[in-house]
Amino acid sequence: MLSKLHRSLRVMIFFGFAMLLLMPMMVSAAAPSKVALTGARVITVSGAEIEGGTVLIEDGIITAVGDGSMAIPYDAMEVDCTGMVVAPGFIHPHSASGLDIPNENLAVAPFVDVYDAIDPSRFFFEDSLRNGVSTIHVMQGDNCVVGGVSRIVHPIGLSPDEMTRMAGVAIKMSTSPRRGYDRLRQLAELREVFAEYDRWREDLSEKRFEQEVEKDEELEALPPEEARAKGDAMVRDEDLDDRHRHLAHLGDGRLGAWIYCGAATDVAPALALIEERGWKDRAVLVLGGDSHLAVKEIADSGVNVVLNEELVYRKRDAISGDVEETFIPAVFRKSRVKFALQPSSNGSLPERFLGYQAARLVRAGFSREQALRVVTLGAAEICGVDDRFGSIEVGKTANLVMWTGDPLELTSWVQKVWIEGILAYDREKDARLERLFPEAPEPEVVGEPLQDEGEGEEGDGKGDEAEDEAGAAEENDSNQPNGDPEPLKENSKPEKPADKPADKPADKPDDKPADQLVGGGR
Amino acid sequence: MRLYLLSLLVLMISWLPCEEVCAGDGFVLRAGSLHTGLRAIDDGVLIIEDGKIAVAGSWDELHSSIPDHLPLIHWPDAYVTPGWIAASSQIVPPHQAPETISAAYRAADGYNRYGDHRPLLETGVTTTHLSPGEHRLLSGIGAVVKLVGDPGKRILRSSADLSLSLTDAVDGPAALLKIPFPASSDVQIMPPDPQRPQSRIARLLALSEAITLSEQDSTAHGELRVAWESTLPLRIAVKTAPEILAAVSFIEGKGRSGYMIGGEEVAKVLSTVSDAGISLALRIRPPGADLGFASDLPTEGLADLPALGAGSVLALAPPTDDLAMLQWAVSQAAAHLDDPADSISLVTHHPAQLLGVEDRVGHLEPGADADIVIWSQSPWQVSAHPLEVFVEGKRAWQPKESSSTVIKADTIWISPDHRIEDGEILIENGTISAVGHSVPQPPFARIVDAPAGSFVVPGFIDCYGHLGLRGDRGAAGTGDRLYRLVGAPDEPELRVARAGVTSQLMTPQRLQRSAGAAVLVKTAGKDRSDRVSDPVSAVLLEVAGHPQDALANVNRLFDQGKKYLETWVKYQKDLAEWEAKKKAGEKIEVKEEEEEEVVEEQAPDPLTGIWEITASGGPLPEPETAKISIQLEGSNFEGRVIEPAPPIPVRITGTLEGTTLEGTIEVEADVLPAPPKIKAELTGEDGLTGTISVLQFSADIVGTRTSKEAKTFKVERRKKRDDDGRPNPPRVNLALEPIRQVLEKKIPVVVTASGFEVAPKVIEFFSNKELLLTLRLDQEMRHHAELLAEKSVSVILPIETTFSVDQKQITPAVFLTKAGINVAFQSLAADGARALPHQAMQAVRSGMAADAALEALTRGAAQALGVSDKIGTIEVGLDADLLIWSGHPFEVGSDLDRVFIHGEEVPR
Repeated sequence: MLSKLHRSLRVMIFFGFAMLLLMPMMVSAAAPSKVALTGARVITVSGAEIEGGTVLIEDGIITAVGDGSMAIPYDAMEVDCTGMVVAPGFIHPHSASGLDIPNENLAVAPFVDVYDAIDPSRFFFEDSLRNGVSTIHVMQGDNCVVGGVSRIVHPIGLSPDEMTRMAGVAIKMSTSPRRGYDRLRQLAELREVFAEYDRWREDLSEKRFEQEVEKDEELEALPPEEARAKGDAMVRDEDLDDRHRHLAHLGDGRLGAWIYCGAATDVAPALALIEERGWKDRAVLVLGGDSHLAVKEIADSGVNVVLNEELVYRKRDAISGDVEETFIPAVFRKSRVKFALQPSSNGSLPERFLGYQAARLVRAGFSREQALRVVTLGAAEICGVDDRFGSIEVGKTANLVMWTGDPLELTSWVQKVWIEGILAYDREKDARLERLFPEAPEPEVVGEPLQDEGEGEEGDGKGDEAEDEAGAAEENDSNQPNGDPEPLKENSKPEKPADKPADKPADKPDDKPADQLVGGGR
Repeated sequence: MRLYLLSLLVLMISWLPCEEVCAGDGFVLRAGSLHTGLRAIDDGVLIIEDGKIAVAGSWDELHSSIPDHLPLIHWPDAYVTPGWIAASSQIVPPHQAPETISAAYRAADGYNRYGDHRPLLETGVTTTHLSPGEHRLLSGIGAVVKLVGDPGKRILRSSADLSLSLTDAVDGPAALLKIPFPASSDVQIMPPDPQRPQSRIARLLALSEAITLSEQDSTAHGELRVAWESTLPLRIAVKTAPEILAAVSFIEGKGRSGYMIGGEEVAKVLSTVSDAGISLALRIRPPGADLGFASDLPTEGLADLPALGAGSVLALAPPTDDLAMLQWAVSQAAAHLDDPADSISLVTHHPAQLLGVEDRVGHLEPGADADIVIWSQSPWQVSAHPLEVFVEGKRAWQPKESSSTVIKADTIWISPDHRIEDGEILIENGTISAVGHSVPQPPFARIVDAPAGSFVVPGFIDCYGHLGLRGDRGAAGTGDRLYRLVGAPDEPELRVARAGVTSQLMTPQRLQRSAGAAVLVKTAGKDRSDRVSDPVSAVLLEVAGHPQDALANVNRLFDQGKKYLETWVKYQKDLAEWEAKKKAGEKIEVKEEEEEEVVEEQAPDPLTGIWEITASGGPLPEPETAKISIQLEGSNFEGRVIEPAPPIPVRITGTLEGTTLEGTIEVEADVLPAPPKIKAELTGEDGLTGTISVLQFSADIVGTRTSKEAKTFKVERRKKRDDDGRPNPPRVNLALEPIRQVLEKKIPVVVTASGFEVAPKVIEFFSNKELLLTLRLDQEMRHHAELLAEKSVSVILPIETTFSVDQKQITPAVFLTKAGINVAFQSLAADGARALPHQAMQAVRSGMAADAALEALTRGAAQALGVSDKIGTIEVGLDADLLIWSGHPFEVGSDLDRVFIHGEEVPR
């Protein structure tokens, strides 16, 4: 833990320095106060889809959603999304990927907070944007008895503070044995954490009551049992010590209880704990392995669940050796248990995309709407943030993703992402993607003469390039002698107010061809 | 139409009966021996309802009061016990926490209630104790669970005992490290706390100290005070005599209830233990364990066990982690008990008492859970294995299907001159794998110990019958395949099987053009593949009429067959040559031959085009639709199924006359018994109605033309050779395929010959070709005995036992066997075939030797049908079709007790 604090301090110093350098730019790149996305197919999730719809964003909040006939304020920056699909950003309900180390060394560490471990420089956050994830519930990993406190972050920002949208969401626990433990020890320690907390709390209550008795003359000293009962309500936040503060918050409802169950047999102790501690309204089970076998108990308890990336469970019969496959979400749907999906952090490639995971639901018989809801509004409900995220509704945070097609199609990709109305990602300026997919040579046309079309195309290409170069040269001549990002801003200013994400040094108007700008930049 | 649609017709003929015993709703279990955990009952019976035992007792007392609606499971040879209880197990491994004394660890936490523990049922154990470990002085709280069942109900007791240990394993625990919080200069990092005990002497001291401490501090030692003050019994693991004495004094000193587990040296301190009246779950020292300083051998001292059980409860615990060792312990204990059956209580009722679960498990008296193990023989026999395990009335475990059976009988009749007295037969995977006075007994073998006087004979064979045709009186030719009508056995088949007829040559009622194909079918089995081994087993011929031209038909058929055979012989030769060449690496010249493409196109006419045809009614459960492209040329048409695309091209050919359409669907070999026929009438310009039929099944069809342009197909002529020069096999001709097999001497011809001069001609014809011949003859046979004997032709006896000619009684059976001719019986009936043994009995009554009649029913019949290598006698490698009679089948008072077909017993 010490090393983690130390490390995050180092990260902070580094980023503080970086921020100092970038400060002037960020100020100049303030987000436009009003943005209107027009002409897109708007998937609202909460309501019907709107063809050629308009979404109006003011100060990061969605203020109006309507069809093409909706009036657009004169001062709004209009982004033409014709032919595109605008959907709410996906919500990653349970991620340890943004942390520098996903788990604590201590088995019982309810006093830590992921704040100290979030590393904004992780590729994970950048990738999240690229894959259409706009809201992430960052939480300690599963390898714990009682872990730290989680928070909800946006994948943009230079520091954990800047990223955080909601601190202190839930505490992570596990009924599955952490590494080096067996179930006996895991559960004994878990029980002991709360037994110890109760003892401490009783002592504290008694002490508080005595303090109050000293202060308040009307109160009379009571036998310890009654004193404890009365004193419990008198416990103030400042009385809580570091070790027990988060446990107290968990008890009074300020924190949710997320319990990891790696196998079906771990579900019953988790549900017993939830029942005993009265966390029913704020408990979530994070499931793995064959946990779906305990679906009946889960359904009876009414607790929501988060599934892991492995949606198909393969069971080998102990006698016959036959393998039986189960599609886990279908099991939960059948029992009417609300579930969320998570993408894999290191699994096979397609499972890293929430859109792919949702598409698998469609393949298993869910409707498209249901599948999309699971990864947006459904996940927000499970994280307890459905009042702010998860759908395109008036009053909600403007976390929007512009897709080139249906989000559940594998052939569509994320073109742009707005987070709180700020353009946080633009595929056309995705430097890493550019490096990954460098400008490909013209594809060879097989089986047809290369003479006519091939040459013609080449000619076209050359022409474009020449034009670009000419344009760039002109710009260079007229504006700046050295091609740093400044000319871009110059370009963008006359047409529209600059909309700039916090973590991007420069932006461009949406209707300009990319290559031209890139050419200018060079 | 669709190919598979038509196979559906056939499937429907052979519907599968469901005879699975639904054990969930209650059943009656009758067993040769039953031990309820409290008492042993011979020929006992249990009534199981709602997963509980409702009634237990002996069959004699109870059989009149058994409700009829419950299915009866009868295991006449098995030994039934309650599910065993393992008083200790390693299913939950010892906990990994460092505390030497802590009541915080609960074994129930470590039990995977959703786990699939069925493989453990193989040991006969259904309930087991879970321990937090015997590696700590006080390791926590034990539990008792069932190995299978509803995950929510598997745990019988989550807190069953406080688990202590005084064995050497507890010494020298690691020191306890406490991690300070918060990590700062104010909080001292303390060195790890050393823990007791470091030596034997400190064990009891450390325990007492911990108990005293817990009285002052309720949180100490994992809230030990709560556990200590509860009434949980103490469970103390001990091994050596001093440890046993220490445990006895500890339990007595604390005034607690408790028992010991282990206690391998208990014999040394027997009197102390039995005086104290403290119970013990004994672990016998396992075989091969180091004896160390112990002077006695592992099982010495077991003789004193009865004495130990006097004042307290004595149970047996598995000697090692392997639950299967419990059975070994039982066999050891049984050797030292007056009545070996008493050993069953040591692993059922007694451990249930120790673990506090005797109200539910450990016995089979009314009210107990129906946890039942069916053992192949007395469980204290080392070779005993469970045959089935029920948990709460549900079948929880069965051995894999390849299980074997051993039949023990007084007499095994193999042939008139070969019997084995007091012999055994080993059946593995449905075939006989050993016969002799003593055969090996593989694990899980079912032991059928037939009662005294029992007489085992091979299953009877009916050489000509109609079982399975289900009243179909249609004619069938050599191209028809009767085996397609065979499915899982129905009631008529089972009736025949129960009469002892295990195989029948299934023949059509009438032959098409005096020729047909028959198939040898078992009368019982799981499915078709179990009952039929070859598609065709014999060619049937009828020869009658004028001797001059009686054989003309046969001649023509066999000429065609010969030509057909030659094409195959040539192909095989070519193939062999090609393979040899290829092996040698020679270049193979590929001649361009017979390769052409014909593209057919036609102007629109009344039929040409794409038709959408819907078939409904008849045996089809739902209407089926297909698209067919039809091309008319003159008055002949040709069509193809285009949608749904069949796996192989399906061609329809036929003629159009006026508006009447008649055609057949060309089906590849072996798919259907007969090609489906279409008969339809054109209605209006673009419609047709009619029927499609296969054998006697038909469905209505309605079609509309959706396009007037037919789809054209590339017609590729069959190439004689592949591109790499490999010869292509000739086209299969279904009708001639059986003849080819006859000519290759693989199957016999069964000829029905009538007329005085016909039989010799037939015999001449076939014996010249040296083919396998079996005859069915009429009265005229009396003149040909010498010829039959000379050519060693088998004869199938007529139905009539005797007939009178010229006022003389002739009994063919006697007459032919005397001449040394091989004879066999036929029933000519469907389920009337069950009278076949009776028919043989009649022959015996008319003078046939009993053993000769038995041979005619078994080995003789197999020989007549050319299947002596498969059935008909009791030899290694043959199908295990066996009958257990109470005496010689043709002796008065003998009954057929049991029938085995392919090693499976036919239910009574």
